[in-house]
Amino acid sequence: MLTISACRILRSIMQCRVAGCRVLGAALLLAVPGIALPETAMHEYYLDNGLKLVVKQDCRAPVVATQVWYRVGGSYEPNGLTGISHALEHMMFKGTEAYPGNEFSRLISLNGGNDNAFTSSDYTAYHQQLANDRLELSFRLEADRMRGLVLDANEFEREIEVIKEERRWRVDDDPNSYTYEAALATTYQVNAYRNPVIGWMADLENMAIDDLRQWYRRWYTPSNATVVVVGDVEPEQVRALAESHFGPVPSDQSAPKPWLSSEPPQLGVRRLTLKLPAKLPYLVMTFKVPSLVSAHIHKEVPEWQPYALMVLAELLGGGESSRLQDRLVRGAQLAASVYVGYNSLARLQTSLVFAATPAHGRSNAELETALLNETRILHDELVDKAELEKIKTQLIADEIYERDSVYVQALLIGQTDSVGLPLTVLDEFISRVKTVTTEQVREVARTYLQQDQLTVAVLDPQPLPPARQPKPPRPAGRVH
Amino acid sequence: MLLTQSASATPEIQHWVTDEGMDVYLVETSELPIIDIRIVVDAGYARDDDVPGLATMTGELLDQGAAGKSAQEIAYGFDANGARYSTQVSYDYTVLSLRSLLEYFAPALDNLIDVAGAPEFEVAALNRVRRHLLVDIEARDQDPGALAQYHFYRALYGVHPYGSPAEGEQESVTAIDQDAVQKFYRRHYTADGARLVMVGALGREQANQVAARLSTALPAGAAPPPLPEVGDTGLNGARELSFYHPSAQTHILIGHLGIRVNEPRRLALYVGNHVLGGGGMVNRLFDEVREQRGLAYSVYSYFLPRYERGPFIAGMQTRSDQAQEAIQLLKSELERMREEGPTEAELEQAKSNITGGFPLRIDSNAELANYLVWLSYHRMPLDYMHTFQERIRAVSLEDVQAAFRAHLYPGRLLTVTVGSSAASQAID
Repeated sequence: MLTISACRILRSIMQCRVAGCRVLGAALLLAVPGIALPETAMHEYYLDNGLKLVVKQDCRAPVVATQVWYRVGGSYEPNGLTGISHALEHMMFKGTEAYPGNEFSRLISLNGGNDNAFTSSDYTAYHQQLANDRLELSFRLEADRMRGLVLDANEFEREIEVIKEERRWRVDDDPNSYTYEAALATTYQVNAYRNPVIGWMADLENMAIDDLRQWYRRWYTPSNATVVVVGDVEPEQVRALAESHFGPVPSDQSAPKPWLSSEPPQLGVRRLTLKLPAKLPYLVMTFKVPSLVSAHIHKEVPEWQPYALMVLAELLGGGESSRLQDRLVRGAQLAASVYVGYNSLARLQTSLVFAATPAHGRSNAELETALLNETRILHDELVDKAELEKIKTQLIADEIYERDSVYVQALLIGQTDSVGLPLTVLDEFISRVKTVTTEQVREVARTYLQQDQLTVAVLDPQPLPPARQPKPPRPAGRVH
Repeated sequence: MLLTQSASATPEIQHWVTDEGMDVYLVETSELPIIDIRIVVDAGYARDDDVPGLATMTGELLDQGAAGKSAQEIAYGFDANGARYSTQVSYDYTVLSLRSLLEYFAPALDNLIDVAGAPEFEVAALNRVRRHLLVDIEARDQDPGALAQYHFYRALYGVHPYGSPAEGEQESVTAIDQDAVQKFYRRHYTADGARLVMVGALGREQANQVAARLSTALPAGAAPPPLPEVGDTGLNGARELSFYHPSAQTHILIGHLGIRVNEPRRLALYVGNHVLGGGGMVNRLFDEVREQRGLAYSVYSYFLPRYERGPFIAGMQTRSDQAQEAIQLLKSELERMREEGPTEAELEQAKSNITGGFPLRIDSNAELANYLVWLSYHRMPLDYMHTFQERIRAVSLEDVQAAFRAHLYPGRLLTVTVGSSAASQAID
């Protein structure tokens, strides 16, 4: 298992989900002798102001994961305002009237908690992990900053510089990340997934505090938020606590309507090249595919298709025995590492993504040919039953392992809910995966893994100047 | 305000030693049908000696062919049973890590025993892994952060093996042959000196059997000798190294030699560093560098205690024209901390965060298993977790001040920068 190279290459991929949908299920189809799985019921509540609350018990440790999810992210942003949801996420830690400055973080920290947040294309989430008797603190603070954020101009002036440094660190100075960002911007012409969550640098340079104030007022409202709590808690007690803290938060509007940026059909392959100072080539290939939202909510495709796609992604890239590991990394030795991603929980039309580093001395072109050949095999040949069963076992096992983490369980609930899917999707995951047939896998391969739907981005490495150490300016600089 | 902590139960650890000398640590949990196994061997890349990359190569080859099975057969054997296997090569030790469902534990365990006990290091696989490492080595050169780490450790440690990069060097990796890997494996993967951690849905009797099987499968022979000490080599005075890289940011690492895991002042330094640059988003460096001046997204400090003396590092990345200002700021914060120590309020905040957050560090089987890897390798007492919060609470302001005076040397810093800042462009 190549932990070093895989980690370094994967760290640059920000938005993709790992192959398959790691979700929860109430009905586990493996017989598990001797151990009954804990109750997996999710309790859903709505407050009068439209806030949604989901509570799930996990009593193995006296801890709680508590998360507030806002239905806004990179894919909600118009051109010119890219990065604003992420910038707002940063500003949420800059204080309210009641808790100025960094009081939020200081109080959580004082109470032994972890706290952080993340912005993605489809949502923004604020999460803490605390001892289970500290949940009240989280609710009090989150309810306060849901509508009470100060958004000071001076603070923003400093924080936007921090965000620019973040962009430089994550993208501009990382050739693979930079390539991946360009690949998405080419894959989609209209679909707002084309824009990076962190925002284009030009938009960060132009961003103004008033933009943030408007963005905050529009999207941060109880009717556009879900609170998710997983841990050693009593659902009814959590509901009462939520009622008392979040209940009074005013919601002066119904949930804002999210913007659906529909992509016109792609009618032929797209290619781009990035010439960047780097040592290694890198290849990103995307095929446009539907998500669970396309199937379940918009009824654009049959409901079985996203599950067949999850199986397809896992077949190709899930685990050390996957086809690409077996054939491209080990067999033909064309790839040093390869990654396959499919975000089945995407709000908009999404992509099946391949990202790979050619093996030592091999080229992007060779690797692309080999990857396309694997897609052709999937058009022509049915996956055999044993391999299909292996994939299903892998996906089911992942589901069980996820129950070891309160954070991951809460994350899955938030991700599912924030794109408008019912939580029954989580319950059904295992049974749906189990019904995927080899014919269905072949059919989605034939429908979606076609050249006319393909975008290819290659990093063509340009010479790096040698990192020579200069002479120290003063002769007395070194002592041995 | 120090918040009292309810007495949270820490897991009960059962410990025994197998006939071959392997230490076993078991925590039984029954709520989930999962078993986590970690085999910890004294085969970290600090054991590379003069062949950087040897430990990593050996670790990565284990599951690429064993007991007559090919890499694909081994991988299939794990995946088809819903198991996840990985080898992690760290500086002091290497961990063979298995997560398995209870239901399919038997075949997953058989596979693990083959990987741990009968790896073949077949030449074709060796050449393939070699090529992967060569890619990793090249990847370093396009990553200013990785370059900064690389140069920092080389400069700090000189010839001590802690100065070596995990993935090795082009020359050394190119020369590694089957013989070298086999010798390394037989010397460092011995049952004597290994630790076995098991967490999950298995009882003592079954655990005994698992331990016995793994113990007899691993190579026989004496445990490897201790690592060479890190003397006070290298830094009697401050030293600055700058490397040009065409990146928008300059990566900065400053530091010096730090402490061993068995250093008596380790916890005092841990608490003190929490105030300085370790405590999440509540610490001095975060406040001064990021919040007040917007100079960096990531800024931190830490003591990294290892079996032998690990480093003390403070680091950040910033737009290159700000690099000098950033370095001065980091240095002055280190000086300030050494001179004045933390305030009483800062100390209480840090202690409260550490003690209150402790249960979160072991609230899942996976995290508990990983914590036990560290405990087992360093032979911490079995009640370590039980007494941890108490020992943190007992750290006083004087303890922290004394610890910093003994172990923080702002006047003897190694400063490494990688980026396009002006200083590094003064090339001869």
